[in-house]
Amino acid sequence: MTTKPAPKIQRGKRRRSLEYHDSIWGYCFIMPMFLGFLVITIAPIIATFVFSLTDKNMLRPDTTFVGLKNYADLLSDPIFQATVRQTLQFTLLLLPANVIISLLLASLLKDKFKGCGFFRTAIFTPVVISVTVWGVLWRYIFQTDNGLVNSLLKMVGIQGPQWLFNTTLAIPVSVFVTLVKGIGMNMVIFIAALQDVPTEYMEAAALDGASKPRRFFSITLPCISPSIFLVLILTTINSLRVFAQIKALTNGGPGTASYVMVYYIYQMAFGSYKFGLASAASVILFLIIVLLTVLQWNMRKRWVYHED
Amino acid sequence: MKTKQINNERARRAAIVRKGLKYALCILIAVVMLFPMYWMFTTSFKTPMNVAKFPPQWWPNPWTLENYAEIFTQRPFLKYLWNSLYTAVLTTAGVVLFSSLAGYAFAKIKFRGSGILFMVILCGMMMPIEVTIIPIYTALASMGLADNHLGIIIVPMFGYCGAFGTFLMRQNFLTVPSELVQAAKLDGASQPRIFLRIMMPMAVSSISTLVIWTFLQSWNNFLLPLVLLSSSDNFTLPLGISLLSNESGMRWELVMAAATFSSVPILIVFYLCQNKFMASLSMSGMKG
Amino acid sequence: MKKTISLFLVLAMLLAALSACGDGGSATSNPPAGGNTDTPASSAPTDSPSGDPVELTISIWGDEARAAAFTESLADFCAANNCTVTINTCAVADYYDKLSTQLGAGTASDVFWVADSKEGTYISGGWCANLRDVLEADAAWDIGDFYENVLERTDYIGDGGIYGVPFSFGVRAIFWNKTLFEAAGVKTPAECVADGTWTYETMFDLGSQINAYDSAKIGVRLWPVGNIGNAINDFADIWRAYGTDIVNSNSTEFTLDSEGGIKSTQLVYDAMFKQNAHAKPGDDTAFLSGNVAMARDVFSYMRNIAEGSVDFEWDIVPQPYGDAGKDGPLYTGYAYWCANANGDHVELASKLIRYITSSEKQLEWCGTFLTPRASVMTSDTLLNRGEGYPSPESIKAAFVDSVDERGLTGYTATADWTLFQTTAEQYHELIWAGSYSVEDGIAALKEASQQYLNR
Repeated sequence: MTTKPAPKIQRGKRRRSLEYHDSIWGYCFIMPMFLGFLVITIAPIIATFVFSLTDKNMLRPDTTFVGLKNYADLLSDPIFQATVRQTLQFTLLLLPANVIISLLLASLLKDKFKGCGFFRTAIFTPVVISVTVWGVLWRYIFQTDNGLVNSLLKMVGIQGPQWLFNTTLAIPVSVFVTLVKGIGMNMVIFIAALQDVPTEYMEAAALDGASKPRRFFSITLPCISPSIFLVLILTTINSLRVFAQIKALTNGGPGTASYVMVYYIYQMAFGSYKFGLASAASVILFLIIVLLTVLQWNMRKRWVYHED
Repeated sequence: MKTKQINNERARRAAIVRKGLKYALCILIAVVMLFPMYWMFTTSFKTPMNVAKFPPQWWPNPWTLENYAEIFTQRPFLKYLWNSLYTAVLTTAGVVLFSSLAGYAFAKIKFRGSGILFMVILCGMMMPIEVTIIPIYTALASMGLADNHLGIIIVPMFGYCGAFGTFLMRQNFLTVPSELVQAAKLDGASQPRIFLRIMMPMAVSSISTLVIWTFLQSWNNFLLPLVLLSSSDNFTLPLGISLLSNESGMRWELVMAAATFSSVPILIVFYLCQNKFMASLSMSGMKG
Repeated sequence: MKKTISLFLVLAMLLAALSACGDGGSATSNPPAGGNTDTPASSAPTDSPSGDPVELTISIWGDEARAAAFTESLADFCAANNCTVTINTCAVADYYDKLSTQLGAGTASDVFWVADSKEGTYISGGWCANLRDVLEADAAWDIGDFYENVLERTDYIGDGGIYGVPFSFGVRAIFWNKTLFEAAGVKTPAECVADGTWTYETMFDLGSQINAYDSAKIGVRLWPVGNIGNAINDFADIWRAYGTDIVNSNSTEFTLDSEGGIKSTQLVYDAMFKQNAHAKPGDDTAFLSGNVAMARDVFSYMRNIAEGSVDFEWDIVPQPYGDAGKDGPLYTGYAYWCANANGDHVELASKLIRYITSSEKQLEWCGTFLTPRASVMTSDTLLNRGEGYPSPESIKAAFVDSVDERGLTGYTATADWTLFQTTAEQYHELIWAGSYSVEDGIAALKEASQQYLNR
């Protein structure tokens, strides 16, 4: 469904001048945000690109240009390769789980019923808690011997694993903890979208005898697709940039099993002051995110309603 | 007639079962979600020794208010609260204003280069702050804004939060039928008027989402204030919480008291406002 | 027309973008020494005895109370030198993130703290001023009072300077829970010390007996809560007790793949996973809870327990011996006062350090920090901590005599010491996670860490 072209009574000059005025207003409206962005966001990004070509060390005064050496070093570093792999793994695990579960929760809680306010607030609770405190709370819950999970397992006679000190479990556990923290916000976005789905459509479809799942897939989903698109892109970006909860939960361990890109970058920049190398790693992360976002952006017209 | 009754009966029973299942599911999820909060809350009333007890104390015994007494009387948490509150409010106000404007322009006004410019703004969400913080800090310091709250207000405003807001508002305004805008234009309404009178009232739901989200981002922001602010008079709550440690590690009972203190009020506000805010969505049902 | 105007607008934005970048670029590429030339304070005359008071800034880690106490502690100094001090504090975990950023931007404080694992990087980067002249100018300050080497070892440049003055060192003792030992009926550490059987093997054996008595109790915890037993810090003492170390004295060679290194690491591994004598990695039960029989910790931890209203009796003993007996030196980290070499008031900052590290001032702080000054370490103030603390004899045996007997050494930090530490942590975690045997893990660590050592 595309928007209808405007009535064609306004032809020629009048219409063109209207559009022209519009575009001026367009620039005016984005100007404050855009100018701020140039200074606060774009300039540091450009600075990062420049630093990535140097051997800048935060604690050394002299900086020399080294070309692409940092990139070559990174790409040949097995730890960095593993880091990129783990970051993508984290994203691939989190993305579908996050979108599907928060959508399910939203459809469960979109209608008013007794106690829905409480349940919504309960699911929203983790969003409010700071990431560091959150990570620490779950580290406590996942402790090996005296942790809550393993204590519960012990009651039913199971010896629980070392959740956070197990090379295969570290990433899935971090994904779980991030998931629980984040779905509340996505749920709120989805509830807002779901409540905007015009009831007339649903009623009409119900009268036509469309089954519930069918109504969901052919009416609800297209109607809320702009929000799904938003959540999809946000989750992708956020999971590629995940850091604080990993730092609090596993601190990258065991070994490098839960190193993610921002953790690596942080280690390089603040742990060993190799700012040039950290910048190069950031540029790589940036390019990965841009690539995935542009990919999703270009595919949006196929499935996102209202985008044309 | 009879079959219909049976069918009704069956449908009624099915509805009860469905309702029961729904509640069971909701309660299960709520337990998982609330457990960390419960733990945080109860720990904040325990004595230092009981925090580390094993098996864990599910219920503080004895209850103590000393942790709260310490953070309010011996540590300037009210000042941290004020710093957090007013910077978060200003950040949120700026983000809502600037990103609604930009989001509307990107969604409903055709102008050259809008796609590229939108992508540029999205970049604000893509570069990790862990690296850009250093050029940002150097630039702010050279402008004399080191150890100044202005920094922790404008950096999120024109960075991560601003980008998110612009994106959210764009997606929201997309769902407003273009016919509305066209009709208003034919009536001779100017763009600012359309934005203020037609668009903004219809975007209340998204604005509420944006307000909550931005406020929380600012409220829980850590790395930026850590690097930017140096005197403890300027500290925000997360920085105050990080100070609750000594050489032998964190003082959990105090951390939990401070964390409870900084999150429970927001939850109460959310609980009280959510019905209103969710209802406002349905009222703007003229969309679509 | 429409086209030209939109083109113009895009151009204007581009221009704005470029100028903004130029701005950011030039600001960020300033060399650190130049970074502070344009700060307003530099125009003020330095160390003026009259006129407006000079404002000195100090960066430390710790809480607000500590900052306030230092401000008070420095009041006389300020009055005498016509200056004011502002103390900026920060959590120890975030301290260097902040300090390095501020140094890079030229906004760092005049005086700051640096711990020895980082000092190599900061001193060889030229960020710390040479304090020797100022310190020697005051005979009462008494350089000779400090433990051997602690001042000289700050000379990473090799010009004979003193680049930092230690205010704290981290020698550790074993805290043990008397009540728990009594309840379990297990031979106590104090008895083992008395009859000369106080070794790591004995300690883990006692720990496993405690765990056998009650599986909810933890026998031994060597590292503080929050640490997972992977850091050099966590193992240095036990390696040395077995006559070895992770690197040689000038950090040119990896030496943990020796017999003692493998034996001591295996001992800890077995204590954790076979004997159930030691807390497992990631277990956060604190000694304070009363559920840990023996815990190793630093001097200032005594205060946590003494003020933690605990319901058990406790005491301290020196760390156990290993195969090397009395020849295994104890490990310590140091924390130093340093003056910002690029600050505006280097001279005054150095004087402040001299003032705050005098033996009287360090005595004032000895409840919090253990200072490597002989006069402080033997003082009554330090030993007699009062109500709720162990007896002066216990404190003396654990923190003073053990150092005299076994000696004390730190590490020579290399330029990439942080990366070396991180690598060591990673391989220890992998050993605990079962990805490597102890021997293979150490061999793999040796291979991975070569690049971070001195040549």
